[in-house]
Order: sequence, then C-alpha cells, then structure tokens
Amino acid sequence: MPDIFVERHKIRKTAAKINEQLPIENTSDKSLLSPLSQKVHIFSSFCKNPSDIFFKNQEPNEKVLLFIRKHMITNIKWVTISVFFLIFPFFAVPLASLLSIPLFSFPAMYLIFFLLFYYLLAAAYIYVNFITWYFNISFVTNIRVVDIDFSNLIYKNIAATKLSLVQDVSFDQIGVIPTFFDYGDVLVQTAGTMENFDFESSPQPENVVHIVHQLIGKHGTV
Amino acid sequence: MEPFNLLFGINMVLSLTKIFFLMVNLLFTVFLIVVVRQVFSMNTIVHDVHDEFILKITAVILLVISISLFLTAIVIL
Repeated sequence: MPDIFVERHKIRKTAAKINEQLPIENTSDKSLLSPLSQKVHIFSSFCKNPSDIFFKNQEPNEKVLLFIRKHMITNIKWVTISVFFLIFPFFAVPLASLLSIPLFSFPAMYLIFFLLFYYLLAAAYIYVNFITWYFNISFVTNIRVVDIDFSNLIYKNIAATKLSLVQDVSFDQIGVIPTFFDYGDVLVQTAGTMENFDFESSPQPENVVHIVHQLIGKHGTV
Repeated sequence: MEPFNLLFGINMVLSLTKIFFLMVNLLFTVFLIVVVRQVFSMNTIVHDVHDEFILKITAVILLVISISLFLTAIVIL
C-alpha cells in the first residue's frame, strides 16, 4: 500500500541518499542539490530541482538541477491578441449593422459555420503560442547545460554542452519591465568554437548565473 | 428570366463560399495535423509526467473538431 503521509525527515533522508550517488565533479557547492525537489506545473517558468520532468538522452545518473522557461510575462502580447480575438465577434455584429455591412445576407447556417471556424482558429492560435512558449526550455543538470529551442512549429534545435566546457555565465536585464518582473537574458559562454547558450527572458537571471557559477566552480562573481 | 438569374447568382455565391470555406478548413486541418505531430515529437524530447496528457489531448481535440467541421460543412452547406 503506498504511503500517503510520510514524515518530512524521511523524504530528506531518501533525497540525500540519491544526491550522494550523483557524480558532481564540478560542483563546488553541493548544497545546490537541495534534498527537497519542486514539482513543475504546466505554467512553471523557473524551478530548482524539478521532479517529474525528463528529457531525451538523459543519463541515468543525471539530475535536473534547474529548469527554465521564458518568464510568463513575455506571453502578454499573444494573450492580449487572443482576448481581442475572442471578444471580437460580440462587437463585430453591432459594428456591422452600424456601418450597414450586409453581414446577415448569408443564410444562418453559413454564419454559424463561420463563427465556429473563427473560434477554432482562435483556439489554435492560443494553443500554438502556448506550446511555443512551453517547449522552449533550458535545463541545467549536474552534468551539462541543455537548451531546447522550438519556434513557429517548424524549427527545433537542441543544444547541449558539458559543465566542464562552460567558461563563463553572465546576464542582461535591460528595461523597466524586465527589472520590475525580474527576468533577463542569461548568456552561457562555452570554450573554443562551441556554441554559446542564451536563455532568453529567464526568470531570476541573477539566481541562474549564481547557480551555474557554483556548478562550474566559480565563487563570488555575482 | 430575371428571377432565375437572381437565384442563379445567389446560388453561385453560396457555392463559391462553400468551396472557399472547405478549402480553408482543409488547409487548417493539415496545419493542425502538423501541430499534433510536433506536440507528440516534442513530448518525446521533453517528457513531463503531468502535462503531457493535457497537451496531447488538446491538440487531438482541436484536430477532431476541425475534421468534424469540414465533414459537416461538406454535407450541410
């Protein structure tokens, strides 16, 4: 029978055991691997030690330490457009009659179909924008940094680099809105000709930089 | 002769509207098939235990509605 209520110290002990088994060669601060993991929900944009999320080619002893998506506020543009789309028909009918546009010259059946199709388009617009945000993910694990880019449904890019190849991490937070909502672009620079990583509009960029610095063994730079 | 021409004209407009509507709906259905495929493929790359089902079912529901609308439009319009 599964346990519903488990004592908190028991969970900590189990998590600590798991963490002991992890290969954290580059991690100078093992407190990063906090024993208690957080649950990632569908609207999460920043999570330390997330549970229940895995990525392709994740190694058995690899643990996700940091899970990052763009800040929720970056969705404001398409959310506003979607709201406009959804309420537009309520204003379109009086507006059409006001401007004497022959909207009702079509049979009622046609109008119903147009309206249904219109709302289907709106729903698809919302869904596509949501999954574009949802699948743009960056992971920092105890072994590497993984960046998954997904845009416009046709572009997919998955890049990864080992933590030992990360040379420096920095962040930009420019503007009033990013400062107010605490998000910014985190740049992870890698050695040599390897691709740099850009975590766009990452929430708590200072925290991200601090964590990656600790993982690569740099202290006091932030 | 005039009422006949008028009826013919109206029917013509309605037929063209139907064809246009069906074409757009068909293209949209193809687009939704691409969306469903991408969602399924992305869920193999990033596997979230809780959200995976919601995302997949939403994409499939949109596709089913689009196909239903297309088929209904063929019959009713």
